[in-house]
Amino acid sequence: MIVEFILGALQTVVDFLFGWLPSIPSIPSDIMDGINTFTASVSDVVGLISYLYTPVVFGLVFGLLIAILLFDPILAFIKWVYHYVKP
Amino acid sequence: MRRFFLILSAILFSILSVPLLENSSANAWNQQYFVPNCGTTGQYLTIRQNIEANLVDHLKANGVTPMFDSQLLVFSRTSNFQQIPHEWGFVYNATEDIILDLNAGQRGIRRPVGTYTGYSTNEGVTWSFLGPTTEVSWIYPEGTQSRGCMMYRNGVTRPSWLAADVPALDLRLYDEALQIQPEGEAEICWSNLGSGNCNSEGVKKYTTFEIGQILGGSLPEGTESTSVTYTGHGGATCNASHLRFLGSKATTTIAVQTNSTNVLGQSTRTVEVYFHLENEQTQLFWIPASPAYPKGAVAVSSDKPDVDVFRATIRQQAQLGTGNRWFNIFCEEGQINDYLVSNPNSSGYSSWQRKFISSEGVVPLDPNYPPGYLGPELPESGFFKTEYTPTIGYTLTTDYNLTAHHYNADIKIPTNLGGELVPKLRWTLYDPDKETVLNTQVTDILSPYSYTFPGIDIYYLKVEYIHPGPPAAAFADNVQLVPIEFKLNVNGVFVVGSSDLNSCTLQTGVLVCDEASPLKDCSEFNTIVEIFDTELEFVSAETFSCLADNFGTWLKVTLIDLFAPSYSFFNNWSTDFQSFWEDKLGFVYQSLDTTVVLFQNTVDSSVTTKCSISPPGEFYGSSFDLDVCVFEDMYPAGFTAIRALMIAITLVGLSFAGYRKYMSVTRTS
Repeated sequence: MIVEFILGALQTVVDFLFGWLPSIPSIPSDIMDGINTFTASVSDVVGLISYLYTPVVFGLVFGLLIAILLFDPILAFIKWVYHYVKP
Repeated sequence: MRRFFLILSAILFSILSVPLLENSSANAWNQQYFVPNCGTTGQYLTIRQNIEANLVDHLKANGVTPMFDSQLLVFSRTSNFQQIPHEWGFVYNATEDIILDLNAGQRGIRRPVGTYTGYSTNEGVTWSFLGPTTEVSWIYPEGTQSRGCMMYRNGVTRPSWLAADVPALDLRLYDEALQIQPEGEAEICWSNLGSGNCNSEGVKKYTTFEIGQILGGSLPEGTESTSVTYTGHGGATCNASHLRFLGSKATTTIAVQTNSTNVLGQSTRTVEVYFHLENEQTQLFWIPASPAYPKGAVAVSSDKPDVDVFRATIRQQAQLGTGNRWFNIFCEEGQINDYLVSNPNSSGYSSWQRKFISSEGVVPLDPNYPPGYLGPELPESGFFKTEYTPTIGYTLTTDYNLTAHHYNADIKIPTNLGGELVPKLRWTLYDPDKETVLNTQVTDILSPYSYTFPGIDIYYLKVEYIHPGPPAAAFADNVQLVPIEFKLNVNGVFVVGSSDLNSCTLQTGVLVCDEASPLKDCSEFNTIVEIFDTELEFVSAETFSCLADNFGTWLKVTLIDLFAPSYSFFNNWSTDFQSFWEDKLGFVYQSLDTTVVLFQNTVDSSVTTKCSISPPGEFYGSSFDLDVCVFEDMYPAGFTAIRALMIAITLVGLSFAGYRKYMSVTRTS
């Protein structure tokens, strides 16, 4: 009951603060359809690769690939943090 | 270093190729038991008989309860059955595209023309074939093989099953299936036309069969039952059963069982049923035990008082899900008459069968039930309160975080429902919006079901008693007796309604139960002392303990009501909140949402893992599918090898890339 009251109050405040603002237009439906088709196709291809590699191996390969691609910026970030943390 | 990675590749490939051994054996098994397809001229599947004759006996002997339901072959097993890996399996040779489900592992995947194999798993098997035609071969653990043809008739999505080479043809009329109004006398005779389609002009070959067995159920008091056996034309034995109904209704199960051998490929066996009524006032109603099928009862009457003979030609289609059901399909009228006329001197016909010859016409189906018939009748009022009252136990664990309310229900119903009938159950669980969230197969009566509720709210559980018919009917069509509905108030502390059946009342076939209070009745612990004709009630120590328990329960309920939002409120609130921002932010929200969905699908393997994709649109006038499943099914060993090679190369490549990165870092530093 208390949590419901808090959530309801939050909803009321949000409505009061932003309700009077005009809404930002949506993406035209044709473009949205194209985006959806594209995302579905990407999902299909990813799913096929996942099937070929098996989900477990796919997750491992995906993680390793991201780690290798982002190796340099991650390393730079770690060095930057180490530079400031270093006593 | 290169040598190191070459060795690493070899090791990886060796490890990943282990499954090749299994697939190789499957391939050999496939080749060993490969059978040619049946073409498209067959009409029915004969595999069922093989299953009945062999597999089912084998399974039952090992504690497995087989049953058929719709298009599924469902095998459930008891817990004490020791599963043998690859205990049985099948070869499915599809001549057209099919949809093959095996244990929901690759549900609904379209499989093109090819040969497929399957094995059982440790948790029972559900096989579903949705395809036009083919031959199926079943392999049993001892190595024997059975095979049959399956074909979907034109436009019919349910398969039909042929009783062609069944050792025992088993037709039965379920309880409450015959009714005479007013009380009177009737004779019933069964004859078997043997093979041949009702509408064909094939040779009607008589075979030997036995009839008139009363399996289960009970005849009304005063009813007499006698069986007469006589020899029919062509060496056949026809049997008649004389039932004298003195009550208004015969609550018995009458079965016709044949011991016949038939030739594989002959499609339909016809059994004719004759009813001879006492006089013109007597009407015989054939009431299907299940109101759902077939619609309407069969009313028997005739314009001629002395030849009140009803003929129903019944084809046993032994259909999955409706197997052993009586089909009130009438043959063409001329068929039997033609046969009888062409054999006028047959000594195999009884006098009253000759009456039939003189009878005119076949009594049409009456779409209406007899007067006063209100559907399947419950045995008595208070049906569930006495001998059939189920005991329902449950455990509920919760962590009050809206996601982990785990309700384990365990419903047990006495199995002594008369005779050797063993009822089964079907569970249907509805969410607060009355949407179905769990719909089980027909299950054993002692099999509990568990369901994890998504949140605190009120749910509805419907338990349907399933009447499986006489014990001999291993595959009898299940007849629903009556549903019971429970109201489950999942509030994080207790489940109300299902355990207190004393407050339940039967209302038009549905058991309606009051909600039970979570608080105990503590008054029973009070001590009453009678002094000088005056009753004094003293509060005992148990009463204080009981009141303390009640206080604790009340406190938990109150605190949960205070702090935990209901599932429906939280669900509605989050939906409203999301839609508000979706409306306000427009394309900004849509862009973010699309990105999130894309990543979700990528991460969630259950969403995206698929072996077949169909790119949208057409290429040069035709679409194409990239279906890896085909390759995997046709060349399982090759597929496993390629998969192992790909994984090995990829992992080695990634490892080499990581090694290069590592070396570059160490070099620069």
